[in-house]
Amino acid sequence: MNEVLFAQAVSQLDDKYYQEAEQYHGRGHRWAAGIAAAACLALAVAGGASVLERPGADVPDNPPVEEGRGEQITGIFNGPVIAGDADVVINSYEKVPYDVWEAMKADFALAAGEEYDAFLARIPEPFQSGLTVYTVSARGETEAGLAEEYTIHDYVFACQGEDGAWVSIALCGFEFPIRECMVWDENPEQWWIGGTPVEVSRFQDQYFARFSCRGAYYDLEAAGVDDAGLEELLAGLIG
Amino acid sequence: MEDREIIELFFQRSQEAVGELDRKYGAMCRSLAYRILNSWDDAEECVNDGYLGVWNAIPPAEPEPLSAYLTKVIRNISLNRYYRQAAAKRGGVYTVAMEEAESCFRDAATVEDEVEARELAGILQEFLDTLTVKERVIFMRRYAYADTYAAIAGRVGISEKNVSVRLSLIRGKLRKYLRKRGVLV
Repeated sequence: MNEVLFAQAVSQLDDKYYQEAEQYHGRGHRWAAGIAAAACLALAVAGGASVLERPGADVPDNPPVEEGRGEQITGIFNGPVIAGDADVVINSYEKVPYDVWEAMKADFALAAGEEYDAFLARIPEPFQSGLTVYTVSARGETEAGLAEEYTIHDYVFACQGEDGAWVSIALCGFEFPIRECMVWDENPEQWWIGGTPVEVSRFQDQYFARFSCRGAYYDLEAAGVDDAGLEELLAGLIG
Repeated sequence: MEDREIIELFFQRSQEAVGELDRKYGAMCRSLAYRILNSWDDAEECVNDGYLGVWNAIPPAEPEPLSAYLTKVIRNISLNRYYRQAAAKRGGVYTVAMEEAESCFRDAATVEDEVEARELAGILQEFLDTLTVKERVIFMRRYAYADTYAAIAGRVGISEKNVSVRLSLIRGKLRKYLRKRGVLV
C-alpha cells in the first residue's frame, strides 16, 4: 500500500464521515466563538480566559525514566494485556527518589483537580492495599515530522482487590485516557452517578466505564465486581 | 441559501447556481484545494473545474449532503493535479499529512494481492467506526481535509500538542488494525 492508494481510499469514504468532520465543533471551539462574539458587541468578558479549561493547559514534563522501568507492564494483575504497538512509555513509581514522587503528585493534582491523597481516599478500601500507580506518556510529531518529547498523558491506578477483583483507574487532565484494548460497544449503557453521566460497557467478564468530573477525564476497567460493586466504586470516585 | 435550493437552481440550469454554490462553499473549496496544492492559482483552477463537474453532474445527481459531495469533487480534482505535478513542486500541508500517514505502512509489506482503493475504503470505514467521534474527526480533518494541527485544535477544542499526540496514537491503532485485517503483514 502506498500514499496514492491511501488517498484514493480516503476519497471513497462514505459521505457521513465527511459530514461529521465538517459539522463537529468541540467545547473549546464554542467557548472561543462565544468570547469572539462578546468582543464584537464590546462587552467585557471578565475572566473569560480562566473559563477555558483544559484545551490550552500545558502537559506536565515527563519524569526521568529509571533504567529498566520503561518496559510495558503486563500481567501485573489478571487483566487485559496492555497492547504493545502504541508509542507510549510507562513509568512506575515504586522506587523513585522522594523529589520525583512529590513532583508526580503535584502534577497529578493539576490534572485531577484535587490532591493525590484526597483522590486515593475515594478508592474503596478493599482496593487500596493492592494499589500501584504508574503514568503513561505519549508523544506526537511536529508538522515537520519530527518526534516530540514524551509527556505524561495518563495517571493510572492499578488496584488489586479481594477474591480476584481488580480495577484500573486511568485519569487524564485534558481528554479521555488512552485505552489500549480496542473494545467497540455500539450501545453502551448510560449510568447516572451523583448527577454525572457514566458510559458503561461490558466485554466478556469486564466492565469499561468513562466519565468526566472535576475537570478531569476518567477511563475505568474492572473485573471481578458486580454492578453494585462498580456503582460503589464510581460513586466514590465521582463523589 | 439552503442546499436544496442550490440544487434546485442546478436542476433549473440557472446561471445563479454556481454563484450561490460559490457563495456558500467557495472559501471551503479554495482552502482545501490550496492545502493540497500549496498554490492559490492552482487551487482556483481546481475549484473552477470542480464547479464545472458539479454543473455537469446535477442533474441527474441530487447529492445529499451537498457539502460532502462538493468536498470530494474538489479533493479528487486537486489530488489528480497534485500527483501530476513533479515531486519537487509538491509541498504544503497535504504533503506533510500524507508523509505522516505513510509512516503507518511504510515499513510493512502488503499482501501479495493488491488491495483496491474501494476495498481499502471499506476497511478504513470499519476502522473509523472503532474510534470515538473526536478521534474520527481528527483523522478526517487531517487526512481528508489536510487541516493544519492548529486548525484541528481550534475545531476540536484541544491543544495543538494534543492533536499531534492523538494523531500519533490513531496511526498506531490504524497500523494494528490493518495488520489484523491482513492488509499489512
